[in-house]
Amino acid sequence: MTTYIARRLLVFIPTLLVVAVLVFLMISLVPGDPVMEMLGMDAPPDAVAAKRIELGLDKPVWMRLGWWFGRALRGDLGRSYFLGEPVIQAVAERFPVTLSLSLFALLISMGLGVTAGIIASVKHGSAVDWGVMIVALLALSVPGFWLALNLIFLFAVHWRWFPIGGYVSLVQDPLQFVRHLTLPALSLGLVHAGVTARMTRSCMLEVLGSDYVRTARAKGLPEKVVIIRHALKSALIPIVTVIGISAGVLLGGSVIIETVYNLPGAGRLVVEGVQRRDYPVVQGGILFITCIYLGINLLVDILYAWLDPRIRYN
Amino acid sequence: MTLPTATGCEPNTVSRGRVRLSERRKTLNRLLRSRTLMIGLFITLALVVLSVGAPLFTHVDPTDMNMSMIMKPPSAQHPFGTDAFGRDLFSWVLYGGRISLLVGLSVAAVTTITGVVLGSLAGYYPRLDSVIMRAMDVLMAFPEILLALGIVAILGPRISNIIIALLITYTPRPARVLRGAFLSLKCEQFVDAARSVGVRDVRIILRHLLPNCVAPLLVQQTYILAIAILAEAGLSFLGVGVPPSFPSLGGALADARAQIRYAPWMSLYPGLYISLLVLGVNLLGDGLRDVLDPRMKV
Repeated sequence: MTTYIARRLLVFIPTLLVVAVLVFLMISLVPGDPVMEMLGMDAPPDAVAAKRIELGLDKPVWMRLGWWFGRALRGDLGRSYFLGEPVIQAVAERFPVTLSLSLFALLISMGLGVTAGIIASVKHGSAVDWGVMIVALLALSVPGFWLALNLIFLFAVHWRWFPIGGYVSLVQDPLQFVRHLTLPALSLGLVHAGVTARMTRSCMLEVLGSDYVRTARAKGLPEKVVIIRHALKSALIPIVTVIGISAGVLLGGSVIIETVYNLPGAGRLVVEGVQRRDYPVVQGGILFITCIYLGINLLVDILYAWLDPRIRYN
Repeated sequence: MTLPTATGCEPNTVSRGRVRLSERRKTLNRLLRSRTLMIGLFITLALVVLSVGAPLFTHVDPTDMNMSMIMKPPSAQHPFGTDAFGRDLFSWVLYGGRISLLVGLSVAAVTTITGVVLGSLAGYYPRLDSVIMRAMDVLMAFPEILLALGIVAILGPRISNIIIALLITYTPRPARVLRGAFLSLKCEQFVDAARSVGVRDVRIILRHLLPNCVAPLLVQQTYILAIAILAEAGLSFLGVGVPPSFPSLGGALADARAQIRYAPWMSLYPGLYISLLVLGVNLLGDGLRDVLDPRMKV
């Protein structure tokens, strides 16, 4: 296991470094002068020149990359043009919102998706199976932000069960925290539950058709025991990989959902950065969220190898 | 029936040709019998006809503003109602569908080319494999919509730039599918046979390997079409996709968000159109997968 983790880390670190370089180069390739963006088109040439020297923009790209990289390793991702605060502080302040939303959505998508997938596989070929699969397909065809708008109209505008947007932290008021996050998490989680249901069903069907399940049935074990003790246990292993895939989908999806519900999360910060051309924020936000995504995938890979030892040896 | 020939090779060719023809006919029959595929094809084609033939179904210019008709509910004159600028939503949705289809089909077509080139090189030449696949891994290290957002931020909000951003974001998918198919196929005897009679690599790739990968690639690209349509709508919704002067479904939903209390129909129809289109394409993908690539069946 230690060798496997070491090998995974050896792949993880260079990937992280290349991602960081790509994010830096991405923003350095932006056409136009960021100084003119900051100071306005009619800024005096002296001020523009001074700002360029201050930001180090008079130096070649490779030199700036070196500086940026050195600072990034110390956790300094530069200052936001508009917020006037360090990017790392802005992202770190907002990330708990994104994390809460993603975790809440993951809970919904795994809870609903795994349950629906198991029911569909057990009732394979029946009307229930068809029903679940049709709903799952509908779920993954609907844009999350459109579902969000419909949920807002029904549950926040029409019935007024939930607030229309905004965020209250868990420490401030746990009940309001749940009330404010329910609709955003449903918008994100329901769409993803479709993918989870389809994957769970196919994993379960494969296991239910295997020899050892047939043996368990032949021994005369009750169907419930066969499904819960024998089939589900094995089928849940590949479902762990779904969590890894979900991390990217949910973290990425939160970018849009946070905008719909006016949630002060890291995703919305990146979107606002793009709209305002606040490049340090875009750079820092994308790098931060991608690092978290890579970290989650590393953990999932390790968990997967722990659950299924065959992975380590391949 | 075999015909006698001088070389003794032709009868075999004729019968092989027949086998291939009957196999093709069988596959075509199975495709035609697939209910999933047919429903998907019907929904997709119906929406394509509505959007491509938009001038036949509406004479209203989608960008025409009418300040006396602001946020009017659906009526005989405006079947989907009007928006905050008095624009006809029926016309906006039909013309907006054109942009969704344009972006979706362009991304699916161009990623097919990049995916085929990169995937076949990686799958066929072990030396190139690790370089290409590590590059694909780096692209896949980003959450997809975030990568597309970052690229659009650099290039600016234009339709061509959205296509470029989604092309970079989604190329790893077909490349991985093709590489996987090549890795298992290149060990087959027919490839060894071709190589042993001196067939060049390019010919082996184009004539012997690629035709055998059409099925999984076609299925994958159908799904790319669906996710590209969703991604374009998402980027336009965030205001970084299609410029506001063009009718786009994501843009319409962004406008609808501000008016959700007063004009819920503004979000209903554009969202319904995207959902139906993506549902149709997903059904098409599922149907193709069940017939052409049954191992992948969900």
